[in-house]
Amino acid sequence: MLLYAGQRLAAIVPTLIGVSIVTFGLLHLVPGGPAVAMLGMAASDPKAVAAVTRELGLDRPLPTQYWLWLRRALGGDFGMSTEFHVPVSSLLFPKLEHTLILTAGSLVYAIVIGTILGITTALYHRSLFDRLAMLFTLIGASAPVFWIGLLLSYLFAIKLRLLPALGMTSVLGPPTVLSVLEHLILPAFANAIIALAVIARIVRSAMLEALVQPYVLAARARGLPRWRQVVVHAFRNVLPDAINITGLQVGFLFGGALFVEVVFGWPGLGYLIYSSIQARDYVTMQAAVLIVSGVFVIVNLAADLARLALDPREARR
Amino acid sequence: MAQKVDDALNDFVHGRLSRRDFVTRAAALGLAAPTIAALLQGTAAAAEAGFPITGPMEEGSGGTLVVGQESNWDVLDPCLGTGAVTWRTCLYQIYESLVSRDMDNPAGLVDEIVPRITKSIDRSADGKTYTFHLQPGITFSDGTPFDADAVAWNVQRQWDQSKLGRKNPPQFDTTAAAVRSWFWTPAQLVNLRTPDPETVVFELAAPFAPFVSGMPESGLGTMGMSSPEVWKKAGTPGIAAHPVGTGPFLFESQTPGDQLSIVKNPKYWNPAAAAKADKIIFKALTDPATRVAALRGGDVHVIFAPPAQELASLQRDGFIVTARPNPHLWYLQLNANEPYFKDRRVRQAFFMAINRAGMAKRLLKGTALPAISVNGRTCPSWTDQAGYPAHDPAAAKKLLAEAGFPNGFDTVFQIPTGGSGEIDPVPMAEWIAADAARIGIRVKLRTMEWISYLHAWAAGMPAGIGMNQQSWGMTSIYWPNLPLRTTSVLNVGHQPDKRFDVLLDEANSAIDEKVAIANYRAVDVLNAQELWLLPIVNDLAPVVISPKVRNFVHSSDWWWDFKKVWVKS
Repeated sequence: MLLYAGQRLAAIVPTLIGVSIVTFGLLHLVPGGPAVAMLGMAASDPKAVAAVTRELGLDRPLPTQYWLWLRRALGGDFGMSTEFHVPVSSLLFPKLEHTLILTAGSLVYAIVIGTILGITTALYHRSLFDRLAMLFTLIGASAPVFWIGLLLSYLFAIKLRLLPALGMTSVLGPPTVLSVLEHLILPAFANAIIALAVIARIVRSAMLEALVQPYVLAARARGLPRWRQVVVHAFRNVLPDAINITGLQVGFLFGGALFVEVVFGWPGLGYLIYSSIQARDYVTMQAAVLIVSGVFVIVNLAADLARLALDPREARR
Repeated sequence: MAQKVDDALNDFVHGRLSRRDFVTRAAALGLAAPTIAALLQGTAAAAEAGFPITGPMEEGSGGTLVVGQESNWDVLDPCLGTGAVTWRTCLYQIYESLVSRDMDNPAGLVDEIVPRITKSIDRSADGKTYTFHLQPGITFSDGTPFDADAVAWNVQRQWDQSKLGRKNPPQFDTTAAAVRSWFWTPAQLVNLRTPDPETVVFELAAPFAPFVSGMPESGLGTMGMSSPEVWKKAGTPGIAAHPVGTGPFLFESQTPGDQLSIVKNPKYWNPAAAAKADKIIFKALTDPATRVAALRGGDVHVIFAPPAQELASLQRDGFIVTARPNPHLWYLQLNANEPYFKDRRVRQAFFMAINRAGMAKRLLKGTALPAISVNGRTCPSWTDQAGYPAHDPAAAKKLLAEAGFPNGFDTVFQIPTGGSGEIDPVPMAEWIAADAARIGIRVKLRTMEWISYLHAWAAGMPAGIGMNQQSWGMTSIYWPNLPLRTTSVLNVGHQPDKRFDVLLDEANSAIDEKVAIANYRAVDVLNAQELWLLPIVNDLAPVVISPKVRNFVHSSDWWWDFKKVWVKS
């Protein structure tokens, strides 16, 4: 297992370099560059565009530009944002923290509600509750996240006035932990709903399979209480599948936070990527995609390692 | 008396006072007939659209105003910040221009240049030398003096002297010069002198009529003064990171792309014009539905660019929708290289096919007015007498047949999917295409994302593209030079008519501003005949405010001045 972990860790570096090269190439394929975005209407003057392009060093060959960027990035310097004229690292890391908070909140929803829903629907298989819960997960997995976000915002923030609709803390009050938690409730749920539905369905399906296995029957024959049959014997065997799918969902929750960040004004990384694409802020975009890719790869690795630790059969293979 | 006039005007724009009663009351307050006429004219266009210019007006001060913006602000540097949102959000509150416009005057005297950090301006008889006398005793908020040297330092950041064979000083910034080249290139500044700390002399190679009126065009303009000391300590990035100006507000903090706070400047040099609110927080809320939800939820007090379809319901719920004519013009340029548009009758037919009033009223829910001039409605050379043909599909079809196109033709319309000041470009282009189809012109839409579009637009229309669209306009009389001069890079439709250049040259070099305005109006009349540029609508830029907001006056320009606004708790 250690060897496997070492191999996977070593593979992260070429993966991230590959991602950065693809991102770099794709960015330069899009028409209009930072000079056009910075100049706005003044971009109609080709001399002005040429002067700013030269100033930004974007008139150099692409491999040179990439190499200069990589050399600086390896030293921890991601450069200056062309949109805001501030160091990219000062933009990136606070927003990364915000998106991680949102992802963590979403993950709690997805794991707790998804797992409970998966287990209970398997236990009450084909009941009305099972059918209603599966309908809920079907809608949850199919509906656009931004639409669900707007509905939640309308209902809980505007109509019932129970929860805030905007931002990560109160605009006028102090930024307390309680305030962050209060602001997290709606966006985290909206962000979690697809992952929650997927986890519920996978857990349900795995539980249905586990509940008819001989070891559960044996536990039942030994007179063990129902909760022990379900939790200790059946659910324990469902865990590897649940962790596997949860690991994948973490990546999607992190990468997909953009829609929720826009709807709820959550100042995170997804929204930064979106605005840096619009502003052709290559420098910010490049660093942000690298960070998201890094988190995605590391989370998947952690999920795989956890799966191996929980299922010795996999480790032996 | 001024307060009573304000009250009367407020009642009039809110519909609580009839036009006749307003005139009677204004006359009783001693206002002269021309003043009353000017007040009525200023409010007429907004009243036509059914929205007031102001929110509740009340003496007072204090509170924190939270403003929901439709996009991010960019660089907090007066030489580099380009977007209207950047200037509205922050720059206009922190930095001051040598001269300004009376943008938040509810009386609508929109084109009046007012002194700000300049006390007075003298112009030489030959129109080539402008002497600015600065207000004495002003300091930047970092305590350093605002004087003639500071003005010269700021101008030299964006004025490229290499074209005159001179070396640029260290603070010269290539990007700033590129952004402001529209002003400094035609102005032909050859010398800048500072004979004493309170005097700055600009010497031009030739008279340039829009020299002063171009200065407050802040988004692409010239004169937001920042403290040279900040640059000396931290260079260009330092200016954006720690904006220091002479304005009524001080920069407090920002999280780029999310939130920006400014606070009242307690040592503002002009106490009579000091900020009323204690603090203003700007939030970037790019999704329109999120802005509306934030307003309804009480998280923000003001939202810009609200969805037109939400306005009626917001009004029913007690929010106030304000709107006002401003320099905005949503226009098309036709490609002179496309064979069908070479014939003037085809251009006229196409224009006459477009129901601009219907678009403004039905599609845009009264948040825009049909455009009837190449100038924005706040520009002194705006006129409703330019003679643009009226909407007349039957006459248009006849003209098209006379021009040899009885069965119409196929053309392509290049448009962005969104962007600065673009309102709702795709449905608007679909409206135009549907109108054109009624006279047989088959318009195919080619949509592009905003920055990609700007890139394509700036390159000029290639063969195969019949027309494209843009939103711009200035209160400065200079504006028609940009899209209509044959040699301008903004003549993206390649219109070839040199008569425009002759009129524009005469306008620019006029020493008497009345002569300049008359020539700019002649440009408008010529365009109404030739129709290379098709004015479609003027946005009234609706804004929705909470009833808690006091003294909110809808700006008559792209930029906003928030110093009079306060929030009642």
